[in-house]
Amino acid sequence: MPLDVDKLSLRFLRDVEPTVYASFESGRTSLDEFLKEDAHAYDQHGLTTTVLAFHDDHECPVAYFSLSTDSVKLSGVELTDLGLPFSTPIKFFPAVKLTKLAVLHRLQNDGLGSYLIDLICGLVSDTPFAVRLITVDAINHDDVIGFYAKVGFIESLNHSPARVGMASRETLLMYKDLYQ
Amino acid sequence: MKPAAFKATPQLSTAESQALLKVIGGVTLTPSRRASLKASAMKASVAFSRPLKMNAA
Repeated sequence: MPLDVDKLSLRFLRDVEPTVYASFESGRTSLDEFLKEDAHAYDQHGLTTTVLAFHDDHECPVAYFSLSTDSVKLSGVELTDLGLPFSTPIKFFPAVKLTKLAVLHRLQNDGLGSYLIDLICGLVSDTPFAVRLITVDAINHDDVIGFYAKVGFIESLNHSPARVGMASRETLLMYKDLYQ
Repeated sequence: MKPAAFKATPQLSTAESQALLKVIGGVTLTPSRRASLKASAMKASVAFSRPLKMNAA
């Protein structure tokens, strides 16, 4: 049964005691280790901000995500290729990188990750600075790529011949246009 | 030493840049998308202000 999202609460990791998320298990070692060993230090030093999601029916957090500012710099394109209705030498789009997203193992494939992406889109668009894209270095597994594609992310080389040979990469750059 | 937990996005190649612009070039924020993002921001704000049932803080 899908989680009742009306029972979700969000908190910044810095406001939560480490013992509260010590038992979090997503099933992906790198994500679990980051939360328990590194997220606090990364947050303290301004590298990435981590947010924990809680649910009234669960003792430990049900998910977490981490965000950092980013920028998508273009190359090899004409200045007018940005499709802007004015001429400008801008060759980048301001972005936010989703550096981590993990859902409690037993709650996966139940829509919580999609719901959190929706909240993240709202969070990053409701700031006093411009953000056009959300980027993610998605783990190069079919289920992960499939999840991000389902919530509107596009592989950076999805329709390009250069996509061939990417199967060996550990992660794939994907982006989501907040305007679409 | 541990590897970095994440990396900033490197400059896109020409192929990647062209693929990106094919998708987002010329797109503007429509009133309906603006409203949708606003609604999502509101949901996030509510979730941040909800009291925790457990003793997390």
